Amino acid sequence: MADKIKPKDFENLYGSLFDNTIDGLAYCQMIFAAQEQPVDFIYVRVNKNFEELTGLKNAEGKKVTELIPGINISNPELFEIYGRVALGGKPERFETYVKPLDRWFLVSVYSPQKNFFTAVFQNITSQKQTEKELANAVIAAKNVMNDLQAEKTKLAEANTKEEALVKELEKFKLAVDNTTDNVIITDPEGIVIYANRSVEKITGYRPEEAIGKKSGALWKNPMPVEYYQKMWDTIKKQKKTFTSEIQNKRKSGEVYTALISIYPILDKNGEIEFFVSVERDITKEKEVEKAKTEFVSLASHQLRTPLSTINWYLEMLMSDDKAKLNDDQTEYAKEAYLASKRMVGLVNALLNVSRIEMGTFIIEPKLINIAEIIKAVISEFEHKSKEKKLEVKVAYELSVPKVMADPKLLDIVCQNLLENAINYTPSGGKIKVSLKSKGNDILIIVEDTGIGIPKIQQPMIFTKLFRADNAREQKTFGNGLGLYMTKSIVEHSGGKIWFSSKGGSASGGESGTTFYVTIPASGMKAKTGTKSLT
Amino acid sequence: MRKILIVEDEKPLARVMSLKLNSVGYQTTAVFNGEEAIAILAKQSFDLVILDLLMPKGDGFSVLAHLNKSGIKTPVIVASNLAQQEDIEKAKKLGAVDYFVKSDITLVEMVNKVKQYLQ
Repeated sequence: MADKIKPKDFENLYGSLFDNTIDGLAYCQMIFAAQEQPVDFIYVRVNKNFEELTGLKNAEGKKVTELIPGINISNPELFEIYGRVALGGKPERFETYVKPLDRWFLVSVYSPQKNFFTAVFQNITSQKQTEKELANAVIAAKNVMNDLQAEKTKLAEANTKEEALVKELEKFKLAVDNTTDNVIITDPEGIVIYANRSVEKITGYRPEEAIGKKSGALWKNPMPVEYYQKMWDTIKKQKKTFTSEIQNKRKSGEVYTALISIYPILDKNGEIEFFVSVERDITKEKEVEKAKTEFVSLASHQLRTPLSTINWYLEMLMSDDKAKLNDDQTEYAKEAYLASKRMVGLVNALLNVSRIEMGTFIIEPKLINIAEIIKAVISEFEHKSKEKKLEVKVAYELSVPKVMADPKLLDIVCQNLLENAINYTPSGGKIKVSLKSKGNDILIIVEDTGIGIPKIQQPMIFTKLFRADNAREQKTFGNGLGLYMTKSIVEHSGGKIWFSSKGGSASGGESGTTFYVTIPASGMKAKTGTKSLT
Repeated sequence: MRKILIVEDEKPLARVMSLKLNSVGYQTTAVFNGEEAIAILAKQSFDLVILDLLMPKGDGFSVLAHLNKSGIKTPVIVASNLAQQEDIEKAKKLGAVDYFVKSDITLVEMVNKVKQYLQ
């Protein structure tokens, strides 16, 4: 076959190949400066695809620097390679990015004759793009991997934290589940969403029975409507803790007393998320308290009965003409009578102390004139103060208003202070009771020229059963309850008590003591209770 | 002569009250528990009753309740050694005209109280 092909045919064949190959083809003449320095080249012939691949039109016969201005700066390596090949070097193959064209080319170059070269090129821009994208993708992937890793580490840390939190929560839950107090958590509408085990112990209803129901519906022992109004107002409107005693009913129908504390849990916006209710069954404590109160009350009754008998028979003995006691006998009877009276005082004081300590005493403020109470107390002790030749003065500021105060309690306070002043001021001494307005308070001052309170014992003077040494020596009686009781009463009713004393001596040197008691001008705080002091 | 019924389970106390009241001119009858008081009040009339509260066989409160129920209007002074406010209030609610704690007053003071209600 070969001999059938003529040289002319070859020319045509090659020409057609040259023109129709999918690669770009350019046959170029290299232009050298001095010393074979390649500086430019001329496109002698290019094929059809050249134009498409490079975007260069009518390239034949033109210098590359004309066609692509700036190429000698952007791609100096092209000139070097083409020059080298054109001067008889080996064919070369390389990739290049032609910045002015913004294209990537894969170029194969060979020299068919000196100073000429043929460049075969493919546009690999999209391939390069893909490669670049791939590289970017790899980088992105790596970044993602790194991020993932970091996330994973974070997650692992978070998990550890969460686990710790869960453990911590479990601990709390365990504690709450098993605490002896009844703990209930409800939604803002009061529907139970959690109930601990004590709920069953206290109410008889299992937590499962309570959950999903309105809190308290099962064990409600209806309280007055105002009670519930106050409760909802406190926890829902004011968003504060509501603490109170409440009576509820067990599954068995038995009524029990509980101390209840309900508080709202707020979210970030201050809206109620949950209510937590903690309830303690205090039925037993209440019973014990009641038993104690009854015991004290009964014991004081039982003590008073023989004392009444002693008092009244001694009174008969001393007063009844029929008894006709001689002077000595009268004196002995009188001593016994005084001792018995003190015993009565002690029983009453003990009863009051027990009421104060059990918190069962009542404070019932009424609008009263304190000066009148003081006057009555002074006249009560008139006999005693005259006997001791004590000068008792009063100084009432006329501006002192009437005040809401419990007359009984004020009477006990004034009695104790005045009695102490009289008891511990030697004959011929002076006592002054003043009543003043001071700021938001009403001030009662009881001043004496008595034996004073030893400096070292002053901090203990309000302690229950405590008696100062000099007081003990002066008066063997006295039960050490008066000031304790007085302070308790004053403080429970919103006032203050204090004193100043130059500090007495055991020998009874006259140094004087002044007691100050304040009562808020706004009145004593009312206190409900079961017992009043006597 | 004014007649006073003393209801008091503590006999020495009943006796000394009687002695004192007699000495100032009152006629006294003493009974020792609530049941006896109710029984005697059904038969006799008195000008005043001095009533203890804690007694066996019918306490003072039951006597007051009985007097209310049977419409007997005799004034009653409670003389007890119970000193609690609620006892005092309970007795007064049941119609007692006065209340005193025996250990806290003298016989002279008791007589003065009695005189107040027998003028």
